[in-house]
Amino acid sequence: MDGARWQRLSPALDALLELDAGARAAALDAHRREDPALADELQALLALEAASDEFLAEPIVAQLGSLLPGHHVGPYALERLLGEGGMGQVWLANRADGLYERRVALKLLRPGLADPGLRLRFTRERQILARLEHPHIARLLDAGISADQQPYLALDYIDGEPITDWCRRQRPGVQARVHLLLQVCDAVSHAHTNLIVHRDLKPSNILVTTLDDVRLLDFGIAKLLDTQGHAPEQTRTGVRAFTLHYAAPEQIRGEPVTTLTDVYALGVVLYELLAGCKPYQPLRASDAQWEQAILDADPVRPSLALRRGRDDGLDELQRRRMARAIAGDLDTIVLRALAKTPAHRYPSVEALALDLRRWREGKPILARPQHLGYRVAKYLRRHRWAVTSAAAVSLTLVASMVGVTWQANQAMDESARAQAMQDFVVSLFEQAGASAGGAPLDVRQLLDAGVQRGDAELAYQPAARAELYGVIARLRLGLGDYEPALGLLERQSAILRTLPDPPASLRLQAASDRGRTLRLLGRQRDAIASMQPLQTLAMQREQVLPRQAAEFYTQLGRSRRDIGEHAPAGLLFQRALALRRDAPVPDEAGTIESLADLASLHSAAGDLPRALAGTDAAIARLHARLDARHPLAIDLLRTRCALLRANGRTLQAEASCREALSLALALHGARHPATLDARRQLAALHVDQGRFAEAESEFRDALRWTVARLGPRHADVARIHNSLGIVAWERGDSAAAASELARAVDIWRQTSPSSMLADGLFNHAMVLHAEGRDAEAQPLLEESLALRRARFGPRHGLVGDTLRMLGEVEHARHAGNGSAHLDQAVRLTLQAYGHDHPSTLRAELSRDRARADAGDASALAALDRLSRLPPDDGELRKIAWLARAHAAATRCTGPASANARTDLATLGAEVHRALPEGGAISRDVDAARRRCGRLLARR
Amino acid sequence: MSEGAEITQWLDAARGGDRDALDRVLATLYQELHQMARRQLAGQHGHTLDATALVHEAYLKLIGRHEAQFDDRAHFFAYAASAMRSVVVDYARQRLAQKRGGDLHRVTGLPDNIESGLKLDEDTLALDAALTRLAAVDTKLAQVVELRYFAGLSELEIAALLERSERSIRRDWQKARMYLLASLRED
Repeated sequence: MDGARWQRLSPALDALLELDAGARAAALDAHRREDPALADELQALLALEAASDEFLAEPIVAQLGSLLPGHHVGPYALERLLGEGGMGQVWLANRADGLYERRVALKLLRPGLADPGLRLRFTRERQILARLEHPHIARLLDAGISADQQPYLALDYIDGEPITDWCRRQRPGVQARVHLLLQVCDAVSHAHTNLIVHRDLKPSNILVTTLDDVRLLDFGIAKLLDTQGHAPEQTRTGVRAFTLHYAAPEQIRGEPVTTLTDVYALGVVLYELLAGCKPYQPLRASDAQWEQAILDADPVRPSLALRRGRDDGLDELQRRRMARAIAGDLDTIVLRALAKTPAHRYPSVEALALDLRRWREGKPILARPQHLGYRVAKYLRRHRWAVTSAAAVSLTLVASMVGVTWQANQAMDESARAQAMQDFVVSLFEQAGASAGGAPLDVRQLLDAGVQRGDAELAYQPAARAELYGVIARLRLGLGDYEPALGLLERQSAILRTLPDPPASLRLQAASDRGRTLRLLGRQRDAIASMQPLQTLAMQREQVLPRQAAEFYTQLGRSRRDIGEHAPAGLLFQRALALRRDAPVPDEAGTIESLADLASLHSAAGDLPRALAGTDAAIARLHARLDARHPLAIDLLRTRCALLRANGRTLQAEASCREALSLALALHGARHPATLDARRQLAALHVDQGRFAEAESEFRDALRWTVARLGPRHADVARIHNSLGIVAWERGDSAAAASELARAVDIWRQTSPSSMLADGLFNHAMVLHAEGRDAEAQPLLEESLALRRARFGPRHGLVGDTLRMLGEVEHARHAGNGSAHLDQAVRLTLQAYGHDHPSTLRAELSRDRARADAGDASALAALDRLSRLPPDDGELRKIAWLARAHAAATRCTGPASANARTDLATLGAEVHRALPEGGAISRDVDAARRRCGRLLARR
Repeated sequence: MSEGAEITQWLDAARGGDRDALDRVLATLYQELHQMARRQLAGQHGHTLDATALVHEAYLKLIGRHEAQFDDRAHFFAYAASAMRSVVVDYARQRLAQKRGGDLHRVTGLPDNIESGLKLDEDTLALDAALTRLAAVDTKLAQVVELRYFAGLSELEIAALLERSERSIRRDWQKARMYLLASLRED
């Protein structure tokens, strides 16, 4: 297509393109008469253009975005564009991955609004936001980033109109409008209980559906977009993440946003609903003027504004009637919500709702500034902390909520909300405690400073100070700082002792915290001593303070369980369960926790099947009633793993342990104590499976962290030494094994209940026995036996295990000795564990080996039977190998000696293949081969 | 890091074949252009270039000149569109070079764009060449293509910008497509 040709075609095309189809055809004919070639070319070009719709159809940039109906963003398929807002486009979409039918409003964020940290925040926050379940809240269903790097938020699709528009259209009376707003308050309050602040409440986010039902949108989205390190309300391009007209003064000033910010926004909406206009009417509608008005201007009373109003669709009579209804108390309520200083507003959305309800019932309202409570709030807010905004926001929330608990004349139940607030903040810090870099340090400094400030500024408010210590102590616990937490709690009790009449809820909470901390430090008896005096109080206040009482019983019960007092522990757990399950607002997580506690009692008593059943029931309930990715699931899965392992079902145990670990990593991060515990447990399993190298490095890792957290002489540290000892033994390094186990025993002697010490002694003895140092092993076993008998009773399975080992040791020292103990061992394990349990089979193995050595032919046959155990499970397989090895070794001296030797060789190869890292079992088998070789040589 | 510095980095990366950077640069630029074009339509600003609109520092860095002096808005937009085109073309050229160079020269971090719809490769370069040829015979048409295809402005926006009727823009667009289609076929 050269220039000259184009010059001819271009003007002709201009003309042709102006014409419709008919005229065009005629014109072409005209051309054809004059210049057929030209006409052909023109026609061709026109046809080509018409046929190539897709050529350059989409601008390059739009293709990058792929935002067209039918396109997929994540698992959603776009249907149609609903609208375009400041944040980006909103599409109606449906879920396209075949899981289920669901229509959503899909918010696609503009690229300028996203930043690298967004992905991380989405995965963390999505959890929290998805917890919002309320009839008046459009839920955030999903959030993610598509393969094309497009961030999206999927929300319930609500078909409705903004509340202000709806009121303009329907023209309801004042009562009806207040009723609507109360629904909104209910929803916002629910979110606040879950520590989610909306930050961008406005009519377009408050829809009324066709069923006259209120639905709130966009909860927590502003929070999701909160960029670290920047002032939270501004993005890079200077676009605000909130709408100016409904913004609170603190938002404009760039200060942290709290629940009180939402109170303000609700005030604006209420104003608009009542007065028919916004609270401020700046002369010019510029941003600067609006900001000025919000910061300084006093709004006209809504009743007055209504009276002056013009085109709000109301007729004169209705207007006057409404204005009369609003004047007075309702005016006061609205103006209080709109107070410039957060401290002068309602302390919470619930407080606002309460006053609205009182107005509705004709009762006097409470609109009175609450100064006392806000001292704490104010002092924390005055100071800017150089920490992440999340921490700052949460601390301010703490402050404002702590203030709330001091409203002596409030009629509602604060404790539930305050509790929820504190739990949430604690969990926030549990996450912070696990994050890398400087964050944990900043948080600790912050907490220390908080305590100091509390001392200084609350010098004359001891009760407030006590409350604050409690909150900070729990935060410390969340970080794993047990000793500092205890210090704070002791200071707290010192204050409580001086108070003439401290609130029961605080006393119970303090007692529970102290008991829990002491238990975590391994001081169960101290915990019980500290908590016991308050048990009566708990029982007295059960009905009024069910949460605190349940927590109290739980902590006390756990300490009692740990020292072996199972019956009282059971009673306490039952009581806690009843309180949690039957509460007016059922505490689902607490119920599951109590179920797990009860299951743990079965486990402590050695009844593994029932413990497993109980744990599985708790897990099922968790999946059904809560989120599968709840922190509680970690503990439950770990318990399940431990129980399965004790039952010898190693493969299933590993599955549970892996699940627990990956959940802990996802929820808490790699450095968190819960993750370390999970890792340690998995490592122990690996030991069972013969994966020793893996296990050892995992244990060493865990040891480092645990010593750093708890010091070198904590019971948990001893457990790791114990594990390292077992690993070393399996790898054949008996010297190292003995030394690690000796260390474990040493620590446990000082710190622990007898059960752990007994375990340590048993393991140490086992290693010594394997080395042939049976004289040293025997006294240890006898001590272990005594401890276990005392702790569990003479018929317990563990006693049977100990007797088995003791019998082996005795037999090793002098053939024929120990048979009594071995017989007893078989009897006890059979009774306690059943026929097919590895412990029983082990006992039989030991007994049969000893008998076979004595020449008992039936024992040899019994060994053959054992050697035919199913090879798929780890434990049973080991027993089968040992039995086979011993049987073959015994036959070595008889007529079938050649077969026996071949058998041993095959067995040796098989074992080495299965356990490439070696291990105690393969050493035993090799020893049997050598013995056989020696015997033959002697002949 | 400052915004300007960031965008400059993206720009370099995009020219060097980084798809993500390209997307970012274009998306950002696109948003800005769109906003400005829309404001133009709404009649908020006069014909002279509004200095505040251009204050966006990153923007200037992108275009490559500080305190840019443009004759008018149209001039500016044309420059921006042309800048976008050059970024895209450089990107495509780089990617092609990578592909031909084989795995030996594979730069780590260059993602394989399996799922995004657009393939920027030989086709893009061919289009670029054809467009250059078009500009030689009819600058007006080439300009419309740049504004529409590379800068993503709508016909309405282009019309307002160039002070012509929407109809005439549509006509030019059709003609441009004809030329390019024919031209590409001949290659």
